[in-house]
Amino acid sequence: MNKNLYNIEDEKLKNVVDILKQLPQINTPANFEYNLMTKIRNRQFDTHEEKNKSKFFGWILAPAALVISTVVLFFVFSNQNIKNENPLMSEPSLRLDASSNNSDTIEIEKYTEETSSVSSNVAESKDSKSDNQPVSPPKTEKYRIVLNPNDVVLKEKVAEPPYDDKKAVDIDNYIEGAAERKAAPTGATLVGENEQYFDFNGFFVRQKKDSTAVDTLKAKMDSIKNALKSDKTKKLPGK
Amino acid sequence: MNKILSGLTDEDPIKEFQDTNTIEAYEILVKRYKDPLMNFVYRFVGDKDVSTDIVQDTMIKFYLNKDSYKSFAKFSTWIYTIAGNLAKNELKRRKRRVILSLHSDDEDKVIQVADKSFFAPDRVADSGIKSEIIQKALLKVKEVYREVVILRDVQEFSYEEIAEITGLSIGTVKSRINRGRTHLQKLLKKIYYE
Repeated sequence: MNKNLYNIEDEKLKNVVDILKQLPQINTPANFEYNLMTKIRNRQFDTHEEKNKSKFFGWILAPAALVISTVVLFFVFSNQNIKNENPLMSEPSLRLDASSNNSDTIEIEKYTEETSSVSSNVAESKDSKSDNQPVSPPKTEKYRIVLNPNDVVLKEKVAEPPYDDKKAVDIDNYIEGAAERKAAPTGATLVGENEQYFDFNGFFVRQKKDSTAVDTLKAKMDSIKNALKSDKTKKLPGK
Repeated sequence: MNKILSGLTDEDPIKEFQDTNTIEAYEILVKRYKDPLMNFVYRFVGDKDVSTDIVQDTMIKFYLNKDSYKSFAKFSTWIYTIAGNLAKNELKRRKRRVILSLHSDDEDKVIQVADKSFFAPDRVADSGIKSEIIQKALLKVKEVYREVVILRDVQEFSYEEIAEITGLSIGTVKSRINRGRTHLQKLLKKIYYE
């Protein structure tokens, strides 16, 4: 049944079949075989398909690489948009904030000076002017007050650094374990300050007000004024 | 040797080529099939240069994969299968290129049937113009129908051989041939009779 159907259809479409059969034969070019054998001898086996494949990927590769690099650069530079603080413009952090690493404890560094017996003798003889001998610097011991989470306050001694920050340290000798440290050059003393030893480190130390000295000076100045007022005294008070 | 081999069927040169790698056996088969393959591929693809490349690629694939041919099948169906697949790949690639192309007015790639008013009846009788018209109409037919129509009506293969080449059943082959011919008839009527 089906066979007959196809035969009928073939009859109807016979003219199309005849037209197609009359089409001229298309042949390969004259150098077809020569080119083919040359390719085979030279092992040039890249087919038209493979060439087109590489062309296709070549075409798409460049834009794809551009897009990928743009995305990567975008992410890299967007992460760098964090505001960088200018250390010169920002306020310095509190020592408390800088030193506290543990949120549970609060470390308060308090430097206290506790003088030894030698330095206490020096303090007593402050007024004496026979103090031309070099005075050893007062010993300082550092303590740290630690507030624990259980509200227990502890006073811990801070280990002294192996160097004296008021003196220069010969690091080579220190590393080699030299017992004695070279005497640091003593600081310059200001005129009229022989009583107290201190190193000039570029900053003037504010002297505590001596009320008696102030009163004395005031008294002197008052007397001078009075003397000037009264024409009787011609000699200025000397000593 | 050449005279002996050229008088034989396809299976003997291919066997000789497979066993001893005789290049002369290969050349005999190339000479035998280059023109029929060219005709088939040209009618299918519509471009002579591209068709030449496809036929060359077919021969190269045959050279490289000679051992994949099994003697229980016909050599002609095997080599036509390779050529047909390469031709289909080329058409797929063309479609992709048309989609991706930035130029919408790429007239070279668009095959159009000539305006019917251009062909006067006396000119249509000219065989060169006629075959051009038929070729253009053939390229308008759907690929799946076009392939089987060419294999049947141009290359004169049997339904069984076409089924082997395309990997379809005989019934599908026949129905597709019928549909392809019907569509072609309609296209040619428009050109011839209006």
